[in-house]
Amino acid sequence: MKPGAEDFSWFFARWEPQVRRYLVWLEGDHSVIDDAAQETMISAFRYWETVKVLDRPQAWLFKVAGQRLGDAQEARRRLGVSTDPYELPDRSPPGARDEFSVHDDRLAILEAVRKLPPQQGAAIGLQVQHDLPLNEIADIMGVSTGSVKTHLHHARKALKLLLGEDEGG
Amino acid sequence: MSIEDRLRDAARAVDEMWTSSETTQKRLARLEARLATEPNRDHTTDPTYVCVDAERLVEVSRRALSHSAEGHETLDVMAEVGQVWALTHAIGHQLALGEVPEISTYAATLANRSYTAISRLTPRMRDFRADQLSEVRDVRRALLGLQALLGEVGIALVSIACDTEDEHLYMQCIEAIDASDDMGDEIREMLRRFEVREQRSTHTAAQSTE
Repeated sequence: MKPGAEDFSWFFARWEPQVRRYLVWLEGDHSVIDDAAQETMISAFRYWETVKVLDRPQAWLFKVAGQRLGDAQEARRRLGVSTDPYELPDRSPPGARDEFSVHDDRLAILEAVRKLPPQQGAAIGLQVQHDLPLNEIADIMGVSTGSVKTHLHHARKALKLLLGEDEGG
Repeated sequence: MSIEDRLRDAARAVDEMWTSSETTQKRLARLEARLATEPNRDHTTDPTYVCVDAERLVEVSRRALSHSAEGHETLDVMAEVGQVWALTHAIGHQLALGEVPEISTYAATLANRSYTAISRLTPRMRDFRADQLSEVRDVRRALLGLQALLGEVGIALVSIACDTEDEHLYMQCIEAIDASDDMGDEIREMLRRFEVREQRSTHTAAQSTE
């Protein structure tokens, strides 16, 4: 298959935004999300013969996306520079708008989710954003269903603490 | 507003992100541009295609690693370690997609482990001789050669770790040794499963001739 062939293009258009919507729960740096999402889709391309026959490719994609995000975050740490768009002055030309420049109060809770231990953040992102059942989340994270339940429980407890909210909401 | 309501609201807001098909197409074009710069291994479309077997690349890598270790230049050795891992990735990838189902899962894990290791040790390295790999003709011999090569990588890294006083480099070496060991473990399991498969097919062939 050549790059850009119709079936991969369709797959990319269908799933690449979903990969990003998972990663944004774990990382706020635009460039790191870009890198991790691109590397994930390159892996999908390289393993296309395997990926194209999967009934539910999201488990494969999110598993790889988690690994690639770790690599991208590690590369950023090693290079010692922040690529966070909020820390770079005048990164975008005046008037330019992208998903990260749109201020949306509803997204504020993501900052708190990103402060959680990675396993907890991943479990929350997969459950809340992608509505995945516990066994699929467990498969993606490479842990037992029981561990997923524990991560979700601790994540919600920590979020309540971080956001200063009592049990009643 | 409760945490659950806020999480659900955030999910709805995230659903509204990356919805433009125009920008998705731009990202696809970026990915295509990157893939286009990678060597074309398709012999049906590339007239300059030369068949390069895994064993040959293992031998070339073994010599290059040995040469770099003799030169005592840390950067050269690290670059050769990256080359060996890239070869491990390429062989793992081919076997993951190959016709031996008994080892394909392990091959995929091997490819993933080596990819992660390269990203950590030599993230900017681009020019890999493993890109020339076109086939794994003899799976068993290729894996045995790769296993031995990864052992030599471990020895080269131990030498650097023992010689250096740079703590960062020392830790890099230790992590790289662990990564190579993990790849070696994966290959050992692949060889074991491959052996079982071969024995089974020999047994089946013997039965059918009886």
